[in-house]
Amino acid sequence: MKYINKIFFFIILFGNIILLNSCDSRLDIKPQDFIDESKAFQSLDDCNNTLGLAYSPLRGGGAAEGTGAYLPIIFDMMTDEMKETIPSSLGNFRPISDWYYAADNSIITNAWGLGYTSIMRSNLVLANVDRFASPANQTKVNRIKGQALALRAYVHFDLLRCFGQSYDRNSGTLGVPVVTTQGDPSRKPNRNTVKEVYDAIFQDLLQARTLLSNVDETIAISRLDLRAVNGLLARVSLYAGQWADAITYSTAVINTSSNLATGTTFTNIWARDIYPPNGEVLWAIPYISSAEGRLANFVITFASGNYNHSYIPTNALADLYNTSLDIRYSAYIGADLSLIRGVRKFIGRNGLTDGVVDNKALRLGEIYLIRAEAYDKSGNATNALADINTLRVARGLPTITGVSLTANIKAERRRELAFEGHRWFDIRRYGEGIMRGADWGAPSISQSLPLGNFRFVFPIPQGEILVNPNMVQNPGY
Amino acid sequence: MLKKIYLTLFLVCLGIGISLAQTKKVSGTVKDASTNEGIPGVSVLVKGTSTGTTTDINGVYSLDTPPNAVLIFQSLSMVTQEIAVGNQSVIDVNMSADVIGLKEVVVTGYGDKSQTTFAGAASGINTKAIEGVPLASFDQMLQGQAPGLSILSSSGQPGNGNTNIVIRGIGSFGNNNPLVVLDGVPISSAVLSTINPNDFESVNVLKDASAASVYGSRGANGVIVVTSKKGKTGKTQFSYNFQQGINRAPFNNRLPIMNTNEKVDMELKAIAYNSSWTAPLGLTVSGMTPAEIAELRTIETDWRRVLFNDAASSRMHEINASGGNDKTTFYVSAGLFSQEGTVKNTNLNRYTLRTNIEHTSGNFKINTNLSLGYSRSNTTVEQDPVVSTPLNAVRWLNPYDQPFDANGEFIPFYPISFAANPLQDITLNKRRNDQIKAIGGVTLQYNAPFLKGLSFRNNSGIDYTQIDNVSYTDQATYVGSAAATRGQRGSLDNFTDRRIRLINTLSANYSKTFNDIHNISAGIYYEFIYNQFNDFGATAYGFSGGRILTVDGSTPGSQTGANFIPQLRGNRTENALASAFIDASYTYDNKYTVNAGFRRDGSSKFGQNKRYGNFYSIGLSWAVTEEKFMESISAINTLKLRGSYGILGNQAPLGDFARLANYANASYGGVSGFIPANSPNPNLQWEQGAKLNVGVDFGFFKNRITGSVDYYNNLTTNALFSTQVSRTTGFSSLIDNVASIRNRGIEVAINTINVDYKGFRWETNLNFSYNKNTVMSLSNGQDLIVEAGSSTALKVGYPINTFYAVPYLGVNPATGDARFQNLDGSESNSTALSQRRLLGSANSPYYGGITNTISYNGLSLSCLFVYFYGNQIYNSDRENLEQPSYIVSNVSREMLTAWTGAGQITNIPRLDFAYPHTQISTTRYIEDGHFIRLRNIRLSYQIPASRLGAGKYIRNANVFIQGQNILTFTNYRGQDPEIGGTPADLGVGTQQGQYPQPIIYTMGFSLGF
Repeated sequence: MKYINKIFFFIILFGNIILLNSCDSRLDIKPQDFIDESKAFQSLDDCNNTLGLAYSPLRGGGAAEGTGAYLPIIFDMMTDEMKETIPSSLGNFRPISDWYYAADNSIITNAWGLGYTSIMRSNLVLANVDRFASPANQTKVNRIKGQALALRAYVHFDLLRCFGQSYDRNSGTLGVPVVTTQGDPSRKPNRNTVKEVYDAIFQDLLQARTLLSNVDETIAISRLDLRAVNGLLARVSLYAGQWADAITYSTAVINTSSNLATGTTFTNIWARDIYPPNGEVLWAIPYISSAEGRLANFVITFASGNYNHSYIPTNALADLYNTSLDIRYSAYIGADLSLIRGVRKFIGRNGLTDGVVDNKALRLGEIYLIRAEAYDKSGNATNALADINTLRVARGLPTITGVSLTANIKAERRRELAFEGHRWFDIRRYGEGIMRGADWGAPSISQSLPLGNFRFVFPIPQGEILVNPNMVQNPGY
Repeated sequence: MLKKIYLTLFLVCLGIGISLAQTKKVSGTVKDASTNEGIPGVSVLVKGTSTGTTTDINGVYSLDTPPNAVLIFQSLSMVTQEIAVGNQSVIDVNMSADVIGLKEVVVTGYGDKSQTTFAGAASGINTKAIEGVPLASFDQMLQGQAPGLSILSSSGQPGNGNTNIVIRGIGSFGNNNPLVVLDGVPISSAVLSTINPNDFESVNVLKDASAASVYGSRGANGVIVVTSKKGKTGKTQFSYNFQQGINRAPFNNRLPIMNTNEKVDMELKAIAYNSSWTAPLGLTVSGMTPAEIAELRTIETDWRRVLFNDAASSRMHEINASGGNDKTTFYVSAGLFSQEGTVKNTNLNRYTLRTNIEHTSGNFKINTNLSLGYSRSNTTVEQDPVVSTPLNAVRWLNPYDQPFDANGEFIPFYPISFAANPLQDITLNKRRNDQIKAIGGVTLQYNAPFLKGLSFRNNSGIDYTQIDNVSYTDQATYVGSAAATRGQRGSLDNFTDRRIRLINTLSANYSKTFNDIHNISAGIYYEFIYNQFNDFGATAYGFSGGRILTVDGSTPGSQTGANFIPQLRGNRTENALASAFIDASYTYDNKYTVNAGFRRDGSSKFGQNKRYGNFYSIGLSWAVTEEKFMESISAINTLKLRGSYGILGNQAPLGDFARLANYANASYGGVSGFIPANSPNPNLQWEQGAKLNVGVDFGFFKNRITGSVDYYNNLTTNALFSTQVSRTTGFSSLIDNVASIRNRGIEVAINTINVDYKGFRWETNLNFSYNKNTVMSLSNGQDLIVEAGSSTALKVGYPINTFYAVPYLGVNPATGDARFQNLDGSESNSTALSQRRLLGSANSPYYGGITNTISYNGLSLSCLFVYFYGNQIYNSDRENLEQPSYIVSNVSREMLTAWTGAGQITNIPRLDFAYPHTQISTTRYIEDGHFIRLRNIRLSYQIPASRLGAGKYIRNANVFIQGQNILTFTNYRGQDPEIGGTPADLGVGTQQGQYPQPIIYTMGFSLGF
C-alpha cells in the first residue's frame, strides 16, 4: 500500500509538468464568430461579396456622400440651402452648420475614417481578385476589378473635395493620401498633392471604364457600372475644370441612358425608390431597413407619429421653385408637412415615415447640369441652354432663353440637387462665399462665410494628426 | 486496486467513530468574557464523536463524556475552544468574541496562511459588518471596509452591476477588475447581485505580489477571496433573519431647476433679450396671450415626484441551519431579498440557496459548496445622454408640462421641451433581466498516512451564469415609435447569455515543523481554467400594444415590410488557461519567514511565441514581538515587519482572438461578405505588474490599538493599449503592449478599543488610502493622447483620466461673453483645442472609511462613514441645464442670473439663443467630486437570554434598525457625487442622468433556535 501511494505522489508531481507541456492543444482555441484571413478569399464570389462591403461604409458617416446618419445633407446644412430651427434642435450640429468645427469634430473624423475603410476594402479585393483570374472568367474579373477601382477613385475624390486645399487640376497644394495597397498597419503616409490625387482618380476611373465595358452580367443599381463610371468621370472633370472631358463623359452617359425622368417616374424615385433600368438613377446606395441607417436622421426626428425638423430649407431655396409646376418641389420639400416647409425627400418610402430611403448618389439630372455647365464654360451657350431646357421640361417647367445663362445653370443646379450634398462644394468651386438670407436667424449666428475662408477646407482629424507625424494640418485649425 | 484500499480505510475510520467506552459526567457554565454573562446555545461536543449538547439560557451545560475526552466549545462569532476533560467534572469556560480586524488566518483561496508569519499585504473584511446590509450586490457593501480597496458605484438601481472595484489604483487601461474567488472557484465579477452575501464567512482582499502570487497571470489587479460559512459541529442550530424597510430617492437640491413661475418669467425675459431674432424662437410662451400665460402659470408638475416612488419597500427573509458531528458538518441556507427601486417599476427579487458540506473519513476529506441563485430585476435606462431617458427627462421637462393630456392619455413626447414622457416610458416599456447563477465546487483531499504533513488535493469548480434579458418598447412611447425602432411599432429585444467557467486544480501540499523551530510548507499545483461565453439574441418589431411580451408577439417581415424583419445575433467565444505553480515558505522559530511563489501560465489568448508567461514573488517577514527582547516591552503586543516583491500578470483586457487576423461577416444590399475585423497582432503578451510592498502590523496596549501601515510601488509594464494608427490604413487602432503605469501609495488601517469598561465598549475602525497614479509611458513615445470629444487626456507624468479642458473665467460684465483663458494666460471669448490644459484627475487619490461601534449590555450602535477626496467630476447634468440654447426645456435655477445687460456680474453668459455651445470641454462644468457619506448606521439590541422565556425554543434574538446613505456631505452640484464605472455613452468621470443611490431605512430581527 505504501508503494502505491508513493507512486501516486510522484504521478501527481511529474504529471503536473508533463501535462503543462502537453496542454498546448487545449490552448489552441479557434474563433467561431470569425474566420481567418487565409479563408476569406477563396473564389471570385468572395471577392465580389467583400467588394459590396467596400460600398457599405458609404451608408454610415463616411466621407463619400451616401453616408447614412450624417451625409450628404450635411453639405446643404453648411450653406444657404438650410437653416436651423430652434424648437427641435439640440444644437448638436451647430458646430458644423455655424462653421466652428474643430479638428476633433466627430462628423469630420468619421468622414475621414470611413472613407479610408472603404478604400482599404477595395484594395483588399484588388489584391486578391487576380488570383482567381483565368481566360474563361475574364469578364467576371472585369466586373469586380472595375468596380473596385471606380469605387476607390470615387472615395478618394470625396476625400479630396472635403480635405483638399484646392480643386485645381494641377495644384501642388496638399490633397489627401492616396492609398492603393493594403500594406503595413503602422504606415504613416504623407498627403499627396491635389494633382497627384487627381492623377490617381483619373487613372483608376479610366481603367475601370475599360474593364466595365466588357463584363459578364448587368451590375446592380447599388454598385458602379459603366454608366456610373462615365458619370463619375464627368463629375470629376467638372471639378478639375476639364470642360471637354466633362462634355465627353456626360455625353457618354446621356447616350446610354433613356430620357430624364418625368411625372410619376420622377416622383416614384423619391417616394418609392423605383428605378427603371438605364433611367434617371445611375447609382443608388441602398438602405434596406433602418438598421442600416437613415439619410437625414438628424435633420428630421421621426417619432410619435410626426416628425420634427431641426434643419429646414431656407426661404431663399424654397422660393427658387415654381411650386405649382415644378415636380421637384413636392418631391423634395412638400407643403403637407405638419409644422413647416421641411425636407420631404428623405422622409421614407412607400408611405412610411421612418426615414429609410436609398441614397441616389448619382443621377442623370446632375449629368445634364454638368454638361450644361461645361458647355457654358467652353463658350457653347446654345448647347448649354438646350441641356438646361431639356432638364426643365422634364421637371415640368417652361423653357428659358439664353439670358443670364450662367446664373440660370447655377439656380437649376440648386433646384435639382437640393439636399443631395452638392451646394457646399459648388460654392467653393464657383469661387463664391456664403451669405445667408434674413430668415436665417439672429445676427449673432454665423451668417456669412466669405470666399477664401479657411473653413471651406475641413481640418485633418485630430486623431490622424496625433498619430501620423507626416500629416500636415490644413491652415487655420 | 486503489479503490479497494480507500474503501477499507473508510470502513476502518467509520469503526473508530462508533466505538463505545465508559462515560463520565461533566458540567459547567459558558460565559462571555467581556460581559461575564452566560452564553446560551453554545455547542459543547466531545471531540471525535457525535456526542454533544448545547448550553441553556444561562449558559449551563452538562453531558456524559468518555475517558480522556476533549470538549469543543463552539459558538458563532466566538473563538472556538478545546479543553481536555482530564479529572475535572466542572469545566467553566470564558469565551471571547472574534476580535474585529485581528484575523488569525489569511485565506488565499489555495490555503490558509497564519497571520503571524504572512509576508504579504492582505486585508480581512469583517463579514459581520456586511451582514444584513440592505444592498443586493456584495461588492457595494465592501465600500470603506478595507484600505486600498476603492469601490464606487455609479448607480443606485437595484441589482445594477455597474460597480467599479479597484485595488491599489488603476494599473491597466483595459480591465482593472480584481479577480473574485468564491470557495476556490473564480467567478465573474460582473454578476455579483445573484449571490447572498450573508452566507459569507470570510472576505480577504489580496493586494501585493506575495499574497496574490498564487494567481499569477490573473493576480495583477488584486484578488478578493471569499469563503462561505461552514457547518459547526454540535446540535443543529437554526436561525431566521428578517428585515423590512423603505427606500427613498435623495431629493437633494444641489442642482435646483426652475418651477413654473420662474420658467415662464425666464422665457419672457429671453424673448425680450432675443428680440433681434427674426426666426421663431419656439418657446412655450412664444405667441401666447397674457391670459394663456396666466393659465400656464397655474400648472406645476414636480417631475421627480412623477418618476420616483415616494417610498419603495425592501424585504429580506433568510433561514439557515448549521450542525454536524466531527465527521460531517453542514451549513444550509435559503434566502429571499427583494428591493423596490426608487424609480417606479424598477425592482429586484432574488432567491438564493446554499449547501456546504464537509466530511472527513480517515485520511480523506471531502468538501462541497453549492450555491444557486435566481434573480429578476426590472430596470430603467440611466446614464445615457439621449432625450428618451426618463432620468434625463425629469430635469428637462418643463414644470408646466403634464404627463397626461386632457383625455387622460399619456403624452409621449414634448416637442418644445424636447424630451419623452418618463412616466409613460417606465410604465409601458419593460426592461427585465433574469439571472441564474450557480457556483459549485468539490474538493477532495487525501492526507498521506506515510508522510505526516503531506496531502493531495483536487478541487473542481463550476461557475455558471445565465442572463435572460428582455427589453420591450411600446409603440405608444417615444422610443417605440421613433425611427430607430424599425417599423416604428414597438420592438422587443430578447437575448440570453451563458457564461461557463470551469476550474480544476490538482495539488500536493506538505507542511511540517521540525525540532519545533523550523516550519516548512510547500505546495505544487497544476490548474486548468476554461471560460466560455455564448450569446443568442433577437430583436423583433411590430408589436400590438404590449399584449404579448415575447418575440412571438411580433409582426413577421415581408417584402414590403422589410423593417419588421427581425434581427438575429449569436456568438460564442472561449479561452483557456493552463498553469503549473509552486508556493513555499519557511519560518524559523515563528520569527523569520521567507516565502516564495512561482507560476507558469499558458493562455489561449496569445500566439505560440508568447503563449507562456512566468510570474513569481518573494516575501519576507519578521515577527518582532516573538523575540526575547520584546517580552519586557509590555506595551507592544504585536509587531511584525514584512516586505514583498514580485511580478504578476493581467490578460483580461485582451479579446480572446486579438492575436489573429479575423474576418467578420457583414452585408451590403442584402448580400453578405467577409471583412477584416481587426488589425492582428501576433506578438501580444501579458501585462506585467511588478509589485513592491513593505508593511508593518502592530498591536499596542494589550491590543487595544491594532493596525497596519503599508507602502507599495506597483509598476505595470507592457500595458495593453489601443494604439491609434493612421486612419488611412482603414483601421483606427491596434492593440499592443506598449504603455506603462505606476501606482504608489500608502495604506493605513487602525482599530482601536477606545473604551472598554464594565460592558461598555467603544471601538473605532479606521482606514485610509492614498494612491498616486502616474502614466509612465504611452505608445510609440507619444506624450499625450486625447480621444476626440473627450474631456480627459492621457499624458505621461499625469494620472490616468486627467481632465483636459480650457479654463473658464466667468462672464465679461461688459459683453456677457464667456471668458476663457488661453495657455499663454491671455483671455479669449472662444475656445480652441490647442488651448486646453491638464487639470485634476477623475479618480480619487484619497479614500477610506471609518466605523465606530459603541456597545453596552447587548445594545450596539455602529456607523460607517466613507470618504473620497481629490477627484473631479464633469457635471454633464449641469451643462445641459445651463445652456441658453436649451431654454426651450427646463433649465437650472442658476439661469435666472444669466447676463442680460452691461455691467451685470454673473457666472452665466448672456441669455442668447444662439450662444455657441462650447464644443470643447471647459472647466465651467468640472467640479470637485469629494464627498463624505454616512454609508450605514445601525442600532441593534441583543435581547438578554433571561427575557427569552425558558430559552427552550429561542436560543438568541436580536433586533435592529439601520439606515443606508442617509447623509452625504459634498460641494458637488449634482445629484450624487458617487460615480464609478464608465457608462458607454458618457466620458470618464462624467455624470449625467444617474439613478441616484437610495436612502434606505430598514428594521429587522434575527432569531436563533
